[in-house]
Amino acid sequence: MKIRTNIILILVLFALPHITVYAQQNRNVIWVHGLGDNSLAWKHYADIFAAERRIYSHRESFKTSSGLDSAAIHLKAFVTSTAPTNLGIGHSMGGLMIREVDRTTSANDKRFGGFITVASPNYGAPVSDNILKGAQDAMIETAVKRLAAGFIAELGGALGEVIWKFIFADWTVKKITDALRKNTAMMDTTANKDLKEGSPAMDALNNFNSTAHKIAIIAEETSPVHWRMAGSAVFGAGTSVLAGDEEMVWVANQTRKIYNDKVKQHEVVGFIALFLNPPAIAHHNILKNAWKEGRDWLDQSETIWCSLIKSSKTYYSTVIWEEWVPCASGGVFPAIRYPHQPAQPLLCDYWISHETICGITVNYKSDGLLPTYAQELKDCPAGNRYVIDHANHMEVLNMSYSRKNGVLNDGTYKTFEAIFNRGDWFNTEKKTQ
Amino acid sequence: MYNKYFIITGLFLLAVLISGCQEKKVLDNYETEPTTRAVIPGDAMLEVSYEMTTYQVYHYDFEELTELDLAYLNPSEEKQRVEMYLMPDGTVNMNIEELDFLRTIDIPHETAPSDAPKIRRTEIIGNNMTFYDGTQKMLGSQIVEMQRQPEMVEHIKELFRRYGNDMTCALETMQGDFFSSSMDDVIAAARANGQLTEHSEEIVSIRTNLSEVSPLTTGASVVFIDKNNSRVVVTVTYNEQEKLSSCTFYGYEKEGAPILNATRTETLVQVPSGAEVWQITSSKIEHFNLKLNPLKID
Repeated sequence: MKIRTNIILILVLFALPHITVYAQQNRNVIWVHGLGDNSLAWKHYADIFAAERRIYSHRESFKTSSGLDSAAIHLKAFVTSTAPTNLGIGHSMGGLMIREVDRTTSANDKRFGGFITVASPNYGAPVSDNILKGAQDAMIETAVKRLAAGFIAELGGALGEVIWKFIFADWTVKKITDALRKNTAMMDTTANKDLKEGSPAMDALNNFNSTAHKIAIIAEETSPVHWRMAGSAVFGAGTSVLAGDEEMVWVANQTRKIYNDKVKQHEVVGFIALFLNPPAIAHHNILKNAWKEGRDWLDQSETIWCSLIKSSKTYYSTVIWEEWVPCASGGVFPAIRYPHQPAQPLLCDYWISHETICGITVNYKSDGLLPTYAQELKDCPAGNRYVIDHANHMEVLNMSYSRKNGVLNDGTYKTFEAIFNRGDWFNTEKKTQ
Repeated sequence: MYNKYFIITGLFLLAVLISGCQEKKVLDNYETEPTTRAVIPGDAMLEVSYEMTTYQVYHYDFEELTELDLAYLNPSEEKQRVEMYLMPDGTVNMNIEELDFLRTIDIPHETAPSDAPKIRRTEIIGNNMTFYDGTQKMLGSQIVEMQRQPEMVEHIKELFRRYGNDMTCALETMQGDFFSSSMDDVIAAARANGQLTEHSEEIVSIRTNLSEVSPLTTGASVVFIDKNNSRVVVTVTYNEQEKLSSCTFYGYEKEGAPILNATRTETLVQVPSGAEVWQITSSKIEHFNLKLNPLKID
């Protein structure tokens, strides 16, 4: 009997190192939503992983609009367990709330043994500053003005404006401007001052040396980041036919073509007038330029948006472009001097490969709301940094219909699966069938 | 024997001649019958087609602009083929295609390029727009109110009644007395209306208050005409404070028929900070073609 007991004991001792240290009972996973969102935000993945892994999923709606501090107090009260295996997963501001709970609890009162921030503004949200300055409103006002210009010119002054407002109610342009508003609607709260880069709340978080296990998941979207972000905000995950982000890209692409077609219609009718009815040219040029305002805005809108969320940078560099120098002065045609005539007006009617110093605004990687640099997590080991590409700030919450080069690609699911399969603290066993 | 030799030589020369003509026809067809055309041209009263390469930059004082302003001002370039068919009822049918070309403006964005299907061609018939990708696969369609051009149709009919086939030939070859005669009529009418200003022996301008064109629009437009060559060289738009807001220059082939081959537009654009910048657009026009179909003019 004693021999048998010893054999069992030896076998157990022999086997012990081979049983993963992180093998566990069900662990608590607390899924924390972001600013302006609610407990449903993480439902999709919380349910999937609760079914697949040894997880107790917990979700709650927190009041986030009053700022980081009060939202973190609410979260701390919600998580009553202090089990060292508790894992917090926070989307956007939710990641900061978990970090704030970590910062404000003593070693024996910690609510989270580790956490994962997902598309969180760990170094602050640069867009907050621009929202507080009113730049977002100015951008949307400019967008509406430019997109309306063609309608107003074609339909005529004040009458055009009235009709524009009527058409605006159903027009795809409304979808576009509404979507832009929705992109930052959740940011439009008093919590903005906490999320701003360099705010006292952000400084306190980043000056704290956390001992918790930590992972940063960074979302990086494919161009056009703003329409994709808007698509996910408006249409959610979408359908098996068209993902939410793709739907908005399609709306924007179509709208751009419609504006281009209007530009070209007036351009070509203007050309006919050039030969057949010269006094009518100006009218068509005015209409062409008015539609072109909208078309140019659509072309530049991603860079404008990236500038708003501070994921762009302007450089001054030499641009080579083809310029036609018409004969408009110097005796050949003295009636008008055009604003940017070259230094040698006597030489004219030629094409020149021209070099001009231009401001070039370059877009950097972002999730459509936060630049990549803002999502980085302080003291996060390189191996604990994951990037979900082709994902925007809202899309990471449900990528079930997301596609990459036309193929379904659930980047969030794949990333969580990789994390739960790690051989360290984050390992979370699969449920046995 | 000699007869046989002459017949063979004759056939050979005829074959060369035919093949030469066919080759020329293919080249001509390139200008008027692109492979992608889906609009039946025979029904059109007037057809216009061209390829346009456009370069757009901005002139501004760096000091005056904010970072957000600069985001509106990236230079750009594009090339499109445009076909327009003016129908007898004033409907404008169009075919617009994005073309590949050697780009010189490179903006090194770091975001991954879009993998969404690209609309390469748009076909507009009436108010129905259909979008196609590069393989001519239909991507979707949209109903959009396109402005009809009944005034232009009436004007063309009036010109045709007066000039008949001289007008048809002149538009096809871009040469002929039609242009000088019709331009003289335009100048005479402007003089009678008190709209004409004579700047020199060659240059006259016609001023139109925009409120006459569109009742609720303000400002004025001035069309400058080179009398000697019977062609428009510049159009200028002034706002209601008489400040220049936009001007467009037109260039024509110097040798052979004076076909339209370039435009340059300078437009004053306001950026969000309130500052004003000049948008400079130079367009190269190739294969410009204008064709009147007398059978469709009643």
